[in-house]
Amino acid sequence: MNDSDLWRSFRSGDETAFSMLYKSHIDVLYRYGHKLTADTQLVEDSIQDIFIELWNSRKRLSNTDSIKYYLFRVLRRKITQHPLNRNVAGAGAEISAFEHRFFSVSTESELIDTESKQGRSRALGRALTQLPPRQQEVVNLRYYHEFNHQQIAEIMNISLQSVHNTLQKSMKGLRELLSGYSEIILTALILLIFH
Amino acid sequence: MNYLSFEPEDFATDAFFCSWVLHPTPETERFWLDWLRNNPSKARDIELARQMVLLASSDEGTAPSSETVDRIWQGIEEGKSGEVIVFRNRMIWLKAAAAVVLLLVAFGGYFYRTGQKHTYHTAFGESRRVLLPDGTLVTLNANSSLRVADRWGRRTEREVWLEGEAFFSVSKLKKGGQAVKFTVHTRDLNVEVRGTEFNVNTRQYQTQVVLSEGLVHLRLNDPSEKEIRMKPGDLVDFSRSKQRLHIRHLPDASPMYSWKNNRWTLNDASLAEIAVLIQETYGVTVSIENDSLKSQTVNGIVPTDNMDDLLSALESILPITISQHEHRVTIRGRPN
Repeated sequence: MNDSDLWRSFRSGDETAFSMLYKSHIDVLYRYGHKLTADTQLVEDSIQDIFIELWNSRKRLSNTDSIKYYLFRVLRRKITQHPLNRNVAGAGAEISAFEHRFFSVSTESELIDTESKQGRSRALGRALTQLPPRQQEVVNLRYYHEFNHQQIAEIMNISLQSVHNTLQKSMKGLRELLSGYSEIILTALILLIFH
Repeated sequence: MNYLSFEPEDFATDAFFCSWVLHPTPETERFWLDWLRNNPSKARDIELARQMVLLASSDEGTAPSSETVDRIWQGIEEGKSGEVIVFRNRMIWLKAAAAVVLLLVAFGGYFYRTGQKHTYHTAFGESRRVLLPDGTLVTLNANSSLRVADRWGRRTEREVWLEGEAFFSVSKLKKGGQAVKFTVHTRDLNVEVRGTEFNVNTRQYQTQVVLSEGLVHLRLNDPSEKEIRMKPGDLVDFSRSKQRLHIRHLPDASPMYSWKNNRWTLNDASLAEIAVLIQETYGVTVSIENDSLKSQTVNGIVPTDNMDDLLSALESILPITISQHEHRVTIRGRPN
């Protein structure tokens, strides 16, 4: 069943469709919610409220071909605008609010002090935390959740141009962080050629 | 697309390139390997870009545990049924009792403060469930209102004001290792809890609290009075006219809040008591023609989804006939 069909069944009051909708999105919503706030209770409450509201207003909802996109937009608004979320006071304060949220912050020494392959990839993973929070969020939405630029702009309520610039900046930053790992690149390069 | 002028970050932000890295298909695979063969000088950039995309697509966050997934879903189920007026009744409360709930009764309370914003109100014959921002679930009985403090921002206190009757299932909330208290204010007293279930009924010139689970602290509005600690099954009555507090323990308190499940549990309830409940719940006037009927008692569970069903249930249990004209309900004896 594709998104539009699932959405249509749900809107017509199909409880099974509604529970499928929940089951197929709870994981990504929870992950994303946790990047917006460290407050687990707030994440859970917000997700719960969203689905309750969704059910109660199902007859008034319009069509959608991306349920995930719809849910992300609502979740972000809910969490960032929640009165209990004192870390996010408003759009202007958002950037500082995300600090220390997106991925766990690692230290420079951890990044360098990696012997094993696993340790190295973990350290690389943490390289993302070196990026400013806003960049981390855009990167997460683009590459992990695979939203397009337009959708990211809508979800985060920023301009398309700003999404574009932020991504470009993030990738430049990642490139610099990765340049310290030339041997990884080399190994991978060999694999690629033998592919 | 002229990929020759691309820097690694340009590749990494290119949708076609990303789709190859993240979800390769035979077509994209062919395209990029061909391109690489024709432009070997770009191999290093391509690989760097590929690593960047792979790195960017990782997520170190935690997935919800299956318990969390279940818990949230349960909250959704409970919350969504509420809107559809599932509960239309009111509890009847009889002499039995004991459960884990608090009932507070207060009539026409004026305990509002400025600065509150959300008020939930139910009409006669209606009940609804309200999910508060902290996850606390409140089942509001007919003709009741609940005010919720607008700002729970600092989370140091959660406060609501009740008139009528409600069942509270309070979520446990901790902030900095400290349990955050939840306070229900009525005209007569304050109920403070930390995460528990209780019923509060403020009707009939009194406030009644029944605790179903957990621990509750009661404080009368008169500050000179000491605080009362309630245990599950305890029922506290505060009579406004007598200004007196009465505590007793119920072996089974659940009948006290069976209203939230659309039924009244009647344990030796007199017809006079039932008439009062009907008036409070459905907003009608009930008169009993024969005085001897008033002390007739009823045992059993009656449905309260709507008044007609309830009245026919009563007619089938007792030797009575019930007639209804607009907002007046009359109960008469029936010859055997």
